[in-house]
Formats: sequence, C-alpha cells, structure tokens
Amino acid sequence: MQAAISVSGVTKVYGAGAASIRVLDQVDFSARAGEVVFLMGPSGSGKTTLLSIMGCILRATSGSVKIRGQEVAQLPERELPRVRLAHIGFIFQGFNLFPALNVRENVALALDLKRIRGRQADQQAMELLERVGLAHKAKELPANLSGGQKQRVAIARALAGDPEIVLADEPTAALDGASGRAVLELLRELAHERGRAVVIVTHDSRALTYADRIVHIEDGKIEPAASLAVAV
Amino acid sequence: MPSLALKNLLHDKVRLTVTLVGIVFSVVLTAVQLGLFFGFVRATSDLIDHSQADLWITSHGVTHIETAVPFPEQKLYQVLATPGVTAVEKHIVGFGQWKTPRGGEEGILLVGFNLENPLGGPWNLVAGKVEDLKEPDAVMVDELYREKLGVTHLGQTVEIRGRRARVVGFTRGIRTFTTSPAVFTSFKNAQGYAGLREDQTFYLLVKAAPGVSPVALKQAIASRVSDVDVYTRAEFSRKQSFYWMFGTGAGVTVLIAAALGLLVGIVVVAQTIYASTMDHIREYGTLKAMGASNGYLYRVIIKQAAISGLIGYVIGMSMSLFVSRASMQGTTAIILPPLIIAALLVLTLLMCIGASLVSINKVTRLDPAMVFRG
Ligand SMILES: Nc1ncnc2c1ncn2[C@@H]1O[C@H](COP(=O)(O)OP(=O)(O)OP(=O)(O)O)[C@@H](O)[C@H]1O
Ligand SMILES: [Mg+2]
Repeated sequence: MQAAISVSGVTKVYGAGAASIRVLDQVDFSARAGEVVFLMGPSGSGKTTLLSIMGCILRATSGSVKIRGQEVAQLPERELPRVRLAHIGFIFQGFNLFPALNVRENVALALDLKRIRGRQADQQAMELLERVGLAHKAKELPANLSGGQKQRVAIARALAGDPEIVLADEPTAALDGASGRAVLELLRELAHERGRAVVIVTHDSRALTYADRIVHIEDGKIEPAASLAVAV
Repeated sequence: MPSLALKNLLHDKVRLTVTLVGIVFSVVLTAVQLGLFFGFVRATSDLIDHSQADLWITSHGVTHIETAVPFPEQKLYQVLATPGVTAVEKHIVGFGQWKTPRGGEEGILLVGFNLENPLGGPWNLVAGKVEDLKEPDAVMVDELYREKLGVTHLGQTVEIRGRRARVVGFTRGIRTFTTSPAVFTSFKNAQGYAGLREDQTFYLLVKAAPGVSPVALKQAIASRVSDVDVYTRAEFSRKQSFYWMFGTGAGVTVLIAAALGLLVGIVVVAQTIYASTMDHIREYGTLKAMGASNGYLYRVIIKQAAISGLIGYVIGMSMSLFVSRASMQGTTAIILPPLIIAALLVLTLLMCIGASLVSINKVTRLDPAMVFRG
C-alpha cells in the first residue's frame, strides 16, 4: 500500500559555513493511512524538524518528500500553503487555539480557510466537535476549557476539511495522564476507524500502547534497530 | 466566517480603546483644522460672495479687500457707459476705529454701500432694516461681535473716527477674517468715517444686464477704464481668500496642523495595530501553518484596521460636527463641507490601512515553523 506520507534521504542543515548544524541526516520515514506512528527520541534529536518538513512548513536541505506519492520537496514556497491546506492537519503541544473565538468558531475558522462557509461550516464544525465529545462546549471560549478539552478542540480543528495526514508534536505534553490518554485515544480512533495517517512526536512513555509503530530518531538519524513494529 | 478581525479587536478592549482614542483624536484634529480653514476662507470672502455684484472694480494693484486705494468717482460714469452694464455703485470697504461706549478702541471694517441699490449691503438682518441706515449716523453691526464692540442695545451711540455713530440694526453670522468686525453704513457715512474725499471711492460694484456674461463685460470695462483692475465676483473672492490663506501663511498653518493630525493618527494606529499583531503573532503563525495564504492574513489585519478606522471616524466626525455646530455661535466658524466629511472617511480608512502595512510586513516574513517552537 502506498504511504500517505513518506520522506527519503532527507537532510536538514541549519545555518551556513562553520556555524551550520546538520539536524537531519539522510532520514527515511513513512506513514500509511490507518496507522499511528510514534516518532520518539531525545531532546534536540530532530523530531520537530522532521515533522515540520513532512508538514511542508519547513523545507529540507535535500531529499524527497512525498504526499500520497506526489513529490512536494521541489514545489516553490508559495505552493506550500495549498498543500498543507489540502492534506495536513496539525496538532500542537500548546494547542494554539484562537483565544477570541469560541470553540465552534475555532473549528469554523479552519473550515473557512478551506472555503467552507456559512451554514455548512456551522454544521460541520458541530459534527467535528461531537466527534471529540465537546459539542456542548461549542459556545465557550478556549480560556474556559481544561487542557485536555482544548487539545480535543484542536483535534476537531485539525480534522476540518478531512486531511489524510495528521501531524502532532507532543500533543499530550501539557496534559495530565487521563486527558492525555483521551487525546491519544481519539487520535488512534482517527487512524484506525477513519483511515488517517497519524504521526505523533512524543516523549511520553505512558503513551506507547497507542502506537502501531515506533520510530526512534537520535542525532538526526533514524535508529534502525529500535524502529520495530509494535504488534497491532 | 467567524470574523477573527472583529473578535480579536473586541477581545482586547483596552487596546481597542487606545486605538480608537488615537483615531478619534486624529479625526477631530484634522476635521477641526480643515473646518477652520474653510471657515477662514468663507470669512475672508463673505463680503464679496454676498455682494450680489457681478464685477468688482478696484484701483490698480489692490491685493485684498481690506486695504483699498481710493480712486476718482467719475470712473463710475465710464463704467456706466459700457454696454451691458445695468448698474454701478460706489462701495467702501476699509479699516476704521471704533470707540466703545466704555471708552476702549476696536478696529472695525467699514462697509459703505448705496442704500437705494444695496449691492454690497448687509444680509441676515435680525434687527432693523436697511432703510434705517438712511439716518446720517446710522450703522449696523453683527450680533456675534456685540460684546467686542461694547454694543448692548439698539440705538446705542458710539464714535467712529471721532464722529457719532448709532447702532440701528444687527446682522447675524457675518464674520471677518481679520477680527475687525464689519460695520455697515451708507456710502456717504462711510466716506466720512473713513476720511475719504467726497469725490473718491474705494470700489465700484457692477451689475451686468440680464444675459450679459460677467467675463465679457469685465473685458469691455477693462479696455475702457484706465488705472483699475476689474474682477468677476468669483475671481475677486478667490483672490481675496488666496491672499489671506496663502499670501499671509494663515491657511498654511491650519493645513499643516491638519496634516499633523493625520500623522498623529497614522503613528498611533500603526503602533497599536503592530502591538496587536505581535500579541497575536502565534495565531498568525498557526493560520499560516494551517495553510492560510499571506493574502488571508492581510485581510484579517486590514479588516481590523478598517473596522477601527470606521468606528473611530464615526465617533470623531460626530464630535467634529458638534464642535462645528457650536462654533456657529462664535466669531470663528468651523465649516465642514459635505465633500470634506466624505473625504475624511476615505482618508481615515487609508490612514488605518496604511498604518497596518508594518504589521503586514511582519506577518509576511513570519515563519510558520514557529508554531512548533516553545
Ligand atoms: N531554526 C533553527 N535554527 C537553527 N537550529 C535549529 C533551528 N530549529 C532547530 N534547531 C536545532 O536543531 C536541533 C533539532 O531541533 P528539533 O526541534 O527538531 O529537536 P526535537 O527533537 O524536536 O527536540 P525537543 O524534543 O526538545 O522538542 C536542535 O539542536 C535545535 O537546536
Ligand atoms: Mg520538538
């Protein structure tokens, strides 16, 4: 089966000359539709950098990035927002909700970017909120939600417009254990029941049971031995 | 769409207030200065605009109405003999000294006109009649200057250049730019008050026959009568306003103040919009990561600026119109023509949108990868 997203031979060098640092070195990585892949590794190993490159918000120094088989690494800068919009949902450690918008509007804003507006947007936003169990909080401002609830709103927002790929950077780092599990549960359900490719960067060893596959990265290199498939 | 621009504005009420205060201040300052400018323009030329004369004839080289040079009155007959002229009247406008009943001295602008054919006479009479000026010492002043001239009642007597003068009527709203109030009287009286020789006049006011173009008539008179300048009413009005507004720099001063008002607005608005953009920078980064184009972000920022501008304009213009209305009770009118009211709306919006360019620049350069950083 074709990978929903795959990178091969990706190298990322920050800076130039003597001051340059190689953060990713010939990285190969892929995620298929329907699977949850954990990307783990020590701090500074390049996890966020890799996730950013997969999400088309950062360009690799060299290598290939394919989204559903389509090469995107060579696309000009101005094409990238469109790729992100069409294929990728992001989930952030800090939630990044819009504090002035209520929960429903936060989701509707993501729909608005995809030109889904008006009544249709309201309806879809409510459906997405129902899916994360927060339809009853639709009119609340994010400030009135718990961390776990905020992250679930962020998930609903990431799902607006139905992206095939969901990329999450430390989605549970700011959450307590139970909230974190609820979030991971949702993300797993997303992969298994809705066929999304879900890539989660995490430090959280409590989360391991939610992974279909774990990829370890260290010093910008994938550790082959450790990247074993977890029994599904 | 949920209006991010509007919601973000309303979310931070303190910042919105600061922004609005800046815009309102700027709108009021600019509107009042422009209003002063137009008030001044009207004050400089009101006597000419209301003269009902088609042509004004002055001795050669006169630059503004207050300082005329006398010329022989027999030129009147040369003018009258010009085909197309139905009436010519001698006219006086000139500075004089007014001794108030309390003994103080005030500068005045004497206006002497022919009572039989009141070209250049008073208008907006609120007390007395033009015929009342037939008395040998009768004058009319404007209500707005009553206090300045020490006039408490009709029939009061004062002195102009040592001669008796009696107030027989009031006008309302005839302002002068020089702060010397206009004092209307008969031509004969004015000659005396101004110390003018019996056979001299300051101006000749001409009425053209129906269907005769003032411009053509002006040419005809100019070629017949020597040592005078002939202007159409509009020309003389413009010349007069231009002299006081730009010849003396008085107008330039208020226009500079108006421009300063705009500048203050731009700085304050740019400042607050930029601060607000920086506050929300993570949101802009998030939008970018989610796939929003730069254009989408610009629209949010510009919309914020435009909404602020619109609210600020409505408040500021309401205040300015109030000030303008209040000014009609005083000797300095603040006049806001409809075109200026509309132009200020456009200007305010442009100012706010211009002020958001710094923020737009910031957001353009924003790296969406920031969203994953702490
Ligand atoms: N914009 C940048 N310019 C220069 N160096 C950078 C930049 N972004 C990241 N780095 C460096 O690249 C390395 C990898 O960073 P990255 O954020 O990908 O690590 P990470 O695995 O996500 O770490 P953490 O677990 O702490 O989030 C680090 O040494 C970091 O300092
Ligand atoms: Mg990281």
